[in-house]
Amino acid sequence: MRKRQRMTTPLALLAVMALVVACNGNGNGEEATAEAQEGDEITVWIMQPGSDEIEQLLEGYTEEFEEETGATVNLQFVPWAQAHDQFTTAIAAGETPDVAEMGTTWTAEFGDLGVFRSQEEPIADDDYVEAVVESGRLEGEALGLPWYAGARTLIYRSDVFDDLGIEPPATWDEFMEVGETIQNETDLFPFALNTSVHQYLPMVWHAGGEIAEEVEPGQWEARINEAEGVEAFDFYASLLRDHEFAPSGALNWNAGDARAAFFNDEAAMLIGLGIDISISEAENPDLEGNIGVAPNPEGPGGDNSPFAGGSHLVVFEDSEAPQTAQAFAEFLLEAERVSEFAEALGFFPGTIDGIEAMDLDDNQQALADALTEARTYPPHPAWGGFEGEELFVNAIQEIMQGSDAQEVLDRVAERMNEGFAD
Amino acid sequence: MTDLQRSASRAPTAGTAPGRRRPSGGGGRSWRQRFDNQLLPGLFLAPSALFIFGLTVWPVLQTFRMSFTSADLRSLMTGEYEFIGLENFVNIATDSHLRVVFLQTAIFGIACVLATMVLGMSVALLLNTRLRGHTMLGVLVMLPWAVPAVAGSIVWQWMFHDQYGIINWALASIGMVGFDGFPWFNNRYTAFFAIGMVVVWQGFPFVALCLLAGLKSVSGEVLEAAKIDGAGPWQTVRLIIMPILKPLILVLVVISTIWNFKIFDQVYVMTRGGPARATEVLAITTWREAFTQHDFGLAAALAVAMFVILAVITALYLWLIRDDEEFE
Repeated sequence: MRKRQRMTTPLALLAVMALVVACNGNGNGEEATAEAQEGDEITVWIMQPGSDEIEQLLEGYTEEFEEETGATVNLQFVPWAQAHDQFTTAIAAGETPDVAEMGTTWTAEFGDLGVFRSQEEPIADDDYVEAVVESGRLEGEALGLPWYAGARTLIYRSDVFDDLGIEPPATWDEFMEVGETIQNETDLFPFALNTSVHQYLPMVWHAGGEIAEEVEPGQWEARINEAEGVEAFDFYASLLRDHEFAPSGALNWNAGDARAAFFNDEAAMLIGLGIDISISEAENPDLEGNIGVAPNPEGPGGDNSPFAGGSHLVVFEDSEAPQTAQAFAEFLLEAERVSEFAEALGFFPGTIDGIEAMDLDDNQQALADALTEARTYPPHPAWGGFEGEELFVNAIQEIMQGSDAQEVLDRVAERMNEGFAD
Repeated sequence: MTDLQRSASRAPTAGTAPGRRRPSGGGGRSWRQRFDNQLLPGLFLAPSALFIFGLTVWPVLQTFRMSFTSADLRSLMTGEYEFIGLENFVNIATDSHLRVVFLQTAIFGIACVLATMVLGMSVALLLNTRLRGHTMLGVLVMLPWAVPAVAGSIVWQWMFHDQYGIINWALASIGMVGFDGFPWFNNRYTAFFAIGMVVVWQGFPFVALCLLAGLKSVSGEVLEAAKIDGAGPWQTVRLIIMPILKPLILVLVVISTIWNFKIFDQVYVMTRGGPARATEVLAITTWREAFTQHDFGLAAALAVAMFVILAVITALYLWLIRDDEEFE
């Protein structure tokens, strides 16, 4: 039962989908804040969740909203990999959607251009996962509504650890010991490392350092090239460079490659998200019950904060139906819907209530605990650019290939300060 | 356009000739004839000319203009640009990384052209023989051309995967154990080799097809004469076929050069310019500056630089075609 919807903006033609499945109205029962105007038409961009069931879930919410309010919602899915380019193009052309899902590290970047509607009602910090609220703010102004979030933490093969009689490592030193034991006693690689930023940037905190610091309101300075940052990058690079904890090709692995090495029975540890566990179990049913979750190993700085990533919902300033757009964002954020959706994705709701309302097993509980303690990167408009140009990825790859960590990070810091100054 | 203008201006001379015999009262008619012959064709052409202008000339002019500004995303939104003169071009000339990018774009492009031509020629010669099943072979050879660049690149990326790739597996199985887990994309040269494989694999069918058409046009009498004079196969190719096909080969070299300088998809999919920016080519750097850095000014300047290089090659191409026509 599919019906084709009309696309309103020319850019929408570039977006792949405007198909609505009309069969998943499961009647959640909750009323929307419903300032929505009947007859309004809004365009909503949501990141492609990578599964038909989750798409249908969203399409069900959309249908429900349409029935309740009489407004029309053009729901379009945008692949994560193309989303940044697509937002750039849309903003440049002045053809933005009304509501969109935004990666938490992009909210400040695009928000700085004034394209998002300010969320007038102050967001109470206690209600939401702190890290995701922080990343949705630009100079104190709330722009992104926390939707869902997840924290990366240590995921390991509990069967392998049991066989070897070892415990998950609590510190970097223990991580090395455990890694060497796995290397010597099994034919597994100890650690499915990859060069995605969320692997090693938090290690700067673990080493006791900071990536950057806000010296005055709105003014940031890079700290990544201080001793702790250098130690962190060098430690992570050494896992591949000196200790061969992963195959040499891991220099170019992304999170997906690392996960594949984990579920293909080639590596015993991974730093990842809840979704990495669910995908691993789906791909390799033998792993069910054989995966454990532990906090990140503590660095010499005595810290083990994970990084919290996830999504915000933003309402665009240029929306021709701002009331309806805002109402739709709030509709998606209602407790039941947000819990159901986040769980389906393998993430957690951005709200504390939402997390507490979930029925969690041990692994999920460990992941949820990690999330409430998680931190985020500097919410500065330039940050998205740093990630986009793969500033940190290039740095870690250079260090893994033998460059001096201090020299490389001095250059990174210089580039960051340029970005912060613009 | 010039041809049309020429024919339009030539036509009225013939049309107004009878009018001259009647000196009185012919003014209106001759005006109308002039309208019909001179203006009307132009009016008919105007919509499509406008269309072509809007789709090609206008964006190019905009890019030139933008290359002299410090345009970022905010300038695109507001339409306010700050002109900074030649700063972007000075930047391109002095930045050591950008110099490397230009150099490796050129070297990689030329290497791909050579490989494409050699492979294309070999396949064309093979298809030109009356081997059994050569029609089938012809169809198979065309297949890579029919695969979209991105899809093809993803498949090849998997084939070159260090852990699960069929290439490492195959090389290791025939005794080259050093290739077990060999990380093709860790190093500039091996990564470019892998990318080059895809580029050549997708580029050679077109070249082979064109050369095959060329080979078919080589008269059998010439070949027979060569045979009677005692020419072997290699001599026939080198001394008879190559000189006859020379104009065609030149044109194909130029077209391939233009294509291979613009390479984007294969690199974007397979390495995104990594590791540590080692495999960036010009098109990737341009995208990177525009879409990840929002430095549209510098990106425009890079695009202009590429435009100029390709314009020179295209001029060469047009000159070669002209030569070709005269040759025929």
